[in-house]
Amino acid sequence: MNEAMRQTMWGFIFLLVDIRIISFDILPDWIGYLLVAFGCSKAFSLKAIRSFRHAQNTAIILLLIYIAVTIINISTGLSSAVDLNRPPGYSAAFYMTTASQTIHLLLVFWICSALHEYASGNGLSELSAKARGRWKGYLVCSTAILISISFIPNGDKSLALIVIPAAIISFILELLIINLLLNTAREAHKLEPSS
Amino acid sequence: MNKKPLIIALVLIITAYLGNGIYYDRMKLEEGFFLNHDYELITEIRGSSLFELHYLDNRGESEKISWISVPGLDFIRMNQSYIRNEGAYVFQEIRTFAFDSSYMTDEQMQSLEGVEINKVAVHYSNGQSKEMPIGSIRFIKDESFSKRGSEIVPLENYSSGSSSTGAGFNAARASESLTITDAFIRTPISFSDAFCFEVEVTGTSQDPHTGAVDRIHQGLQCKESSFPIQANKDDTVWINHMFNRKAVPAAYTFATFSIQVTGMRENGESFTHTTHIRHQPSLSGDDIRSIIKQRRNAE
Repeated sequence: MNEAMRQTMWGFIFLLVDIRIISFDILPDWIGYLLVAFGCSKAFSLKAIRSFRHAQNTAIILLLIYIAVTIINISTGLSSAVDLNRPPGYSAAFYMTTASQTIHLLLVFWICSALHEYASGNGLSELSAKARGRWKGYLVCSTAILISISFIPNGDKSLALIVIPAAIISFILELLIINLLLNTAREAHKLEPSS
Repeated sequence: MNKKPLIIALVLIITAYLGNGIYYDRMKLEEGFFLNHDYELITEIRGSSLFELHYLDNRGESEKISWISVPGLDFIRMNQSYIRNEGAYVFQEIRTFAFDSSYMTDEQMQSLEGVEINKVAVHYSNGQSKEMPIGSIRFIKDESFSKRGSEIVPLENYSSGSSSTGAGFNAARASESLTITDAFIRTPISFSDAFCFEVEVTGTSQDPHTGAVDRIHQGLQCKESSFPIQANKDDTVWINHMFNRKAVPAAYTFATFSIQVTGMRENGESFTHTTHIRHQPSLSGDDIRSIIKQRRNAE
């Protein structure tokens, strides 16, 4: 379980870090989702918590979306690349970005739900409360950010400044989820030192 | 964990995106169009720029136009296009297409006398073409231009100005005592309901600039000019004008036209003095919405 959680955690770290060399993302998000899918699959095979299976499936959907975007980027050339981080107006790319971010919200729900269930089942009440708390915070902030962004193309240019605080808040939220996964991995290691 | 908050959040997100998407689609134009132009161009004037056409389209979509031509007048060439007031509007943009006369010969320029252009051919980057109305561009010959040279004219233009309120002035100095008998717009304009002018004469003791600028800032109201009006040597003859921006869509017209002042010189000879007015409306976001609304109502 320790290994599965660490794998999932590394997946989230890959999602968080964006290193580009001349527009080319050397840490594409699909690698992150692949690691999350593997980690959740491993966790499900060990603990049979259904939320891990849901998280795995959700990660696969996101993985496919990002692979499609990468293929489009390569086939159309980098100058006209579909960049999910810079949506132009209410275009297909804009809706694709929103869809992927909304599905990511679902992924976080299944992971927090699985960790909550795992912690409750092993008498780790503090970790269980933490999983529930992080999910609530993540849900409220992400929903507020996604709804705010939906107004940007219809509003004044200054409305686009929302993106800056939104990016900072999103970064902190993802760090909190990574921290939650790390805590779970440590607790799992304590419970099952041989793993 | 309880799924209810997640479901509520998803419903809110989807509603926000659908609502904003529907609003965005409603604000978008089905197709771009040219704003109204009413140009009276003088074939004797050979500046580098011939005229400019202004095209309203959704943001980022006007670049689909590669070039524009005037059917039957291939020697009138477009030389550049640019976005006017870039980023000024949320949903739309105005692309200005500039036409140059530097490629044209004097014969070609003179051949335009009496020509009226109402449509242009728009050529898109996908190879398609389409004719679109632009308003009216009329080419006329101005006799007063051919007469000019060393000849002393009774009224000499020396100053002009305009403000974003739609008011403007043209000032001319009287080189001799004269009588102004009439003033009129030379060729009919499509926005006569939204335009007025007056003729006023001020003495040399008055500061003409300050008076005119004050009047413009106060929101000039055109007064009825009662002819004949006497002007002494060195007096300033003011032709003050105003575009009524509340009279839409006329006030949104891009226009160039002439006001002619006629009268008698000291020696009893008649004279005609021509003043050129150029109107380049500065359109706000509300103006753009109003133009689109009126166009939709008219369709």
